Amino acid sequence: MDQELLLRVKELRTHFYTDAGVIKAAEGVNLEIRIGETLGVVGESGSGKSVAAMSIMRLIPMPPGKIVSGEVMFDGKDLLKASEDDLMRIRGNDIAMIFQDPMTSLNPVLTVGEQIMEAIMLHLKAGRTEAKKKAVEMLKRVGIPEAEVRIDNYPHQFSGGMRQRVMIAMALSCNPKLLIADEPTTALDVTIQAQILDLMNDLKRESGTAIMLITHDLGIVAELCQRVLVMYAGNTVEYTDVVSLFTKPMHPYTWGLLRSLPKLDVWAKQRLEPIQGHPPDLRNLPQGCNFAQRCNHKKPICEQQKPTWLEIEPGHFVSCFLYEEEGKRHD
Amino acid sequence: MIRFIIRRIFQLIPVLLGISMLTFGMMSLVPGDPVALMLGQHISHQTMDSVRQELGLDLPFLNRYLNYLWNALHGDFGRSYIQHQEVSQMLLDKIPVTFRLAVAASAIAITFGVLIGVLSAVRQYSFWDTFTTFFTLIGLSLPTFWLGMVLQLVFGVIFRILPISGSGGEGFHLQYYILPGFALGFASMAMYAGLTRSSMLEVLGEDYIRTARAKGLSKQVVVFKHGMKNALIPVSTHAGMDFASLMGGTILIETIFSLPGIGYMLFNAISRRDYPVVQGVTLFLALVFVVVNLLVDISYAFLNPQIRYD
Amino acid sequence: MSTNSDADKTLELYETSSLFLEIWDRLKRNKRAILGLFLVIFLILVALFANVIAPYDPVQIALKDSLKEPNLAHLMGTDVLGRDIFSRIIYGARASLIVGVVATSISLVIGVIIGAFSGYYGGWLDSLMMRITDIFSAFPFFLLAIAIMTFLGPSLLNIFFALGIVGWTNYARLIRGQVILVKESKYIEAARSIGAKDRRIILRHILPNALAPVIVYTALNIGGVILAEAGLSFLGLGVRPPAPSWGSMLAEGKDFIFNASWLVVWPGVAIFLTVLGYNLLGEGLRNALDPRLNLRRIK
Repeated sequence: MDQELLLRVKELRTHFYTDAGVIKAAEGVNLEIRIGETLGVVGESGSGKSVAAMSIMRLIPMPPGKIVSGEVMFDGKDLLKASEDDLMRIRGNDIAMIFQDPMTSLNPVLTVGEQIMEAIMLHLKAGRTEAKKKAVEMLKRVGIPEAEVRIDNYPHQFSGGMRQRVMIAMALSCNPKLLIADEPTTALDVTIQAQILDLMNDLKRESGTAIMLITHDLGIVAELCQRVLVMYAGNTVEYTDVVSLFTKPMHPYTWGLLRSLPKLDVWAKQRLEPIQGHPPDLRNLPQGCNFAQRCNHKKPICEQQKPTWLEIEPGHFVSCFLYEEEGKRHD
Repeated sequence: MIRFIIRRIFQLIPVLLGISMLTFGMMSLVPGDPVALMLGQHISHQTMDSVRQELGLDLPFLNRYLNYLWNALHGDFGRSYIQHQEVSQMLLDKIPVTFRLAVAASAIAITFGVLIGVLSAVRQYSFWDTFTTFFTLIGLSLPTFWLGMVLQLVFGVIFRILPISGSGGEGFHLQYYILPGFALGFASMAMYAGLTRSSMLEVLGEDYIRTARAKGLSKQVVVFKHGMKNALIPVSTHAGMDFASLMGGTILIETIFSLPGIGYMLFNAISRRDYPVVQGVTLFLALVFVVVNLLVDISYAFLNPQIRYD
Repeated sequence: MSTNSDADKTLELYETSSLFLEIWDRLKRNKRAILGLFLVIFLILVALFANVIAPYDPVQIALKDSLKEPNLAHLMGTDVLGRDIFSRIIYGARASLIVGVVATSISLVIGVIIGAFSGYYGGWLDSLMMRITDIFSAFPFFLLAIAIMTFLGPSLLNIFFALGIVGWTNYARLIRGQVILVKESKYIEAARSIGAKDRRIILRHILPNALAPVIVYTALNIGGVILAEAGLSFLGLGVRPPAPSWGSMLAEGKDFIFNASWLVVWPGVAIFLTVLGYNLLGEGLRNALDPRLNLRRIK
């Protein structure tokens, strides 16, 4: 195993058992994150990005959810086998998380200070005064003016962008090794989005925290990430460094994603091409490749078997029969 | 905050006027002549006329209403036909018993109801959860007064550990309030259990609960620190209303357990057709209901910072 | 936003012509609702065929049979006047059912009319109506019924009136809230934007949506009214003796509780099962009729 490796997820499967059937929200998730690196996770809504993140944190509501199989190696420990006590030491301390909607992610009846301080007191074994000092310091670091006063305010007294700053302060207060950011800017205004992303990037450079950034915006990926993971219908379909993703993407779905992106350079007059069709019903996945239905390059085998997660070039993983010798599967 | 309270109090004025109008109007529902009812049949017309004049019953409707309102505002709720005592004095004498009973019922209902509700929300889909759902339905379907009788039967014949009747004379004797409190509070307990359960379930699905768990807080801290306060907001709104309606519902339980409170007094007044007492008790309990409601609104604003600052 | 897509799905649901089949289908799968439906139908049948089922005349006094324990001749025993408890319970179902249905209908009619007008037209009419409902709801439900019954005097007709007049405010609020909610919701906007006529909007969208909670509340309310009737009869403010009513049977049995507990046990069981039936049915209907609830569960 790579010395630098912080997190490795292998063949993670998470299902939800509902009245309407079994929803296979994550069905074979593979990824790696190195220390201090930013991984972008892209894919349309329902592709299993958030479910994968929640599974890593073991925060899937059970029931109806269940992590069916897989391995989540974090810092040499399989989180899927860890006890609840171990997980509690890891959550918020080694792995922190920020969420899409800052309006609902903070508890409305507790002051923001209280909400930041409780993690500090829990993980850093700090007393109240010490924790409060640290919380004020964190609020200053994320750029909240008059932090000493604001710390006693309630979440509804902050704007959306400010609340996301509070969330970031909370998440980074215990110097986590990994920060999972689940679409942290989707709910914010465009101008605020850039500020928040810059802030995250600055803080990352200062503290060396690795980031798993879930987004559906390839522009953000190009700007902030070193590596990219593409997800489709619960599967990870491609994983590579950010340069290869844009220069030599391999999976037909990634091609589609890139083609549907507006470009502001010489090809500006090129038409946007949306990917035809709809993603499959997660309750009723096809026998073969999940993308086969919408794929322009499909072969007969694509509708019969699932493709394997293969390292085609060093550091470039793809799950597609275009790169797999027919009939030579090694499960 | 002060402005909010003042506004709420002003909003009460039309409601209070309406309540007094309604209770006053009830008297006119009585078939026959109230004076004849009051004095009995064998009284001469002259006496009846003079009494009528004395009571102001010969005045037009509006005047009589204004008199009634004026008196009520001064704490005069009329005079009993039977005991010839001030209704307000009778009420004052009986309030402590009814108040204690309602407090006992509320305490039993809230303690056990919230506990059952939280447990079943935390263990959703378990046996305990199914049990709670059934318990809620049973609680809402049992006639409280029948439950009171069954308790009397069980504790009067099998476990003779708690008194099944009376209030134990002067002063406060807790043991006399346990069985009636339980019977009176049972339906409320079921309601609290159901309400807490659904409120807690809703809260546990909120994003900030996920945030709290992602912080590494234990399940207990998440449920009791982050969940409880939010989940109890709707429950506490209900607590005040429920307390007031428990006070209104004491009539059956006090009658069965022979507790000398307002309800028992009302029962006796009903059987003797002592209309001013019925009217006075109704007005009084409606006022309690309204005042408690006001207090609930204010405390709700205290509990929920979002309202406080708006 | 998710509420948008929920509303879209609601719209879809209501556009299907098989709406009622779907509701029935969902109701059928709910075991508790079926138990409730069974209890309610059973009660109705008992009330309808009381004269066929009851082995004795419920008001026939036979002092030589006074306070007989339950036996083969008298399945639930006899009361102090020697009347057959079983037969009185069966006839008592009539009183309970009639009061439950008639009083609820009165509340429903008053409440729906007032609620719909307030909700639809708003303005001063709405303010006035809501103040009036405030006044009525300032009284505890049962207390107001007691007061009215005391002044009117006990009779079946007066019970209808008292419980009907006490219960309308909840209907009015419910309907008003629903009408306002539906009137302003996204899918009505959507329907309007694709050119649907007012009449179609009201018939296809507002009514079914406003009606669902009303149906649920009606089932629950009948249960509540039956409980209240039992309480009123217990206080001597209900159905006039000697006509059998479960509440007055409990009042008559009160003094014999320690020597003839059957006088108290059976009427209570009858009230409990009846009210339970309506509550189970109401709850089942709520689950079957609320498409949002079901969508939430799937999500």
